[in-house]
Amino acid sequence: MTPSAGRVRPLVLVADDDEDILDLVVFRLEQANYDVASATNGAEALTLARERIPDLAILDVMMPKLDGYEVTRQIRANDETRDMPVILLTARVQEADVTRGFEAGADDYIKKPFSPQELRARVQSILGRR
Amino acid sequence: MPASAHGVTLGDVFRWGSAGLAVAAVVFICVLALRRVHLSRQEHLRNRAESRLRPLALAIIDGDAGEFALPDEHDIRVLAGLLSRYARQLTGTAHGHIAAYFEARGEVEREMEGLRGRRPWRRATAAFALGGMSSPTAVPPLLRALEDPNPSVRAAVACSLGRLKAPEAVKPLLEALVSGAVPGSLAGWALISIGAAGLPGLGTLVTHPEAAIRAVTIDLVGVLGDPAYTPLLTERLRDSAAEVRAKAAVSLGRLGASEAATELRTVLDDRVPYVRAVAAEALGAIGDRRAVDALLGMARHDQQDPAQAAATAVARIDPRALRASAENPDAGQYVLEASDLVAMRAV
Repeated sequence: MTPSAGRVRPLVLVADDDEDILDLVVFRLEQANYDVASATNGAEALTLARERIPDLAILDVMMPKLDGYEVTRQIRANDETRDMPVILLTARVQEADVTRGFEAGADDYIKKPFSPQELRARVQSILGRR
Repeated sequence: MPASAHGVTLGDVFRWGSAGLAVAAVVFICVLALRRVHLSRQEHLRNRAESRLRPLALAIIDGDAGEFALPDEHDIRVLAGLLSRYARQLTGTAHGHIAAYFEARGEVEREMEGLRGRRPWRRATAAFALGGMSSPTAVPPLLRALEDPNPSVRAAVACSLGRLKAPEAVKPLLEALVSGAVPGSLAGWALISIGAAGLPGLGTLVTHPEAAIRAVTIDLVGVLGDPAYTPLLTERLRDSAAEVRAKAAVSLGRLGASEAATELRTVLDDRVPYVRAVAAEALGAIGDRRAVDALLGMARHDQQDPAQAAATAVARIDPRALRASAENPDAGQYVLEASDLVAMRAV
């Protein structure tokens, strides 16, 4: 995997308003040797995405202030962040919700409850392609 | 003021009474304040314990808790709660690791022993703690404890069976829900938590001799969303109990079971108005165009609830047909209302 210029390790942005999920995802990513920036709402996630330009964003769909779809759209609309891969973390797995996520610009989605092994594999797969 | 033989007037009695009430109010406020302080302190201690135990919880989930010291009894409870919350967000091997941790340290055995305790609070605490330990060995004793004479214990047991996602708990939980042994909201939460894993056991309950159990089961099937149950639910549209027919219609609507549309159309003539209403809603949810004429007739001539439901269903299936029908002089108030709503939403 290739972190952005100036970084020793790839930086992953994780945003979820559920602290337990945030704990679990951050722990798993740090254990896999990634740097992690975390946010508990969509607006904070968007600010971090613009300020720190992470190598990947993992966003919960249902978040206060801005939902994951809207954060993804705004990431895609910004020249500096438009190429950032986005994985949506969602409890909503109906086809329409998945389609909505891809239409917003997401690269992949992970269903909640999630498997820690699957999470790591998806992250590695996306960062490995870059 | 009249005075008694002892020189006590009515005014004295009022004064003493008032003073007594004032003292009681002050004592009551002090007790409330102390209780508030106590609860805040408890919460603070729990939060601190959670922060301290978080690395251990994450290590346990990862199957790598060997280097951590064994927490004390209070910490074990906090840890179980933390792990239970984490476990809800995870699939895969995490549940096995959590169970192995508590089983290896004898905690599961200790709490199962607690289920047989003399004091209800001890049994309830043990039942709740077992739900966080992810151990399938706790399921049989918990199922027995679902018949505990104390309602708090039964509630804790139901909650834990849901957290353990025990499929064998589906039937006892449904029965407890119907009999009122466990509050409906809690038993419903537990059943939904068990989720799809409990579905295979529901087939026989859809045709259970007791109508209330059939109704609750059918409701659950609709919520869990398994289309494999469509034929069984369709049969229940002809059930002898109106409650069951209604739940079957609602669940078929939730499942979007278009193959049940023909049967659902016959339910529009059910003798019970509520059943006709939910059948209309279900046809609206399915989007059955063949039902439009019957629904428009129902919207014009039926009683209020079924008529409103029928007009709303047509608005979902075919708004144009509804607006055309609203042009007729005998359209009736429900068709007109639904048509106005469609027009407002279109603006």
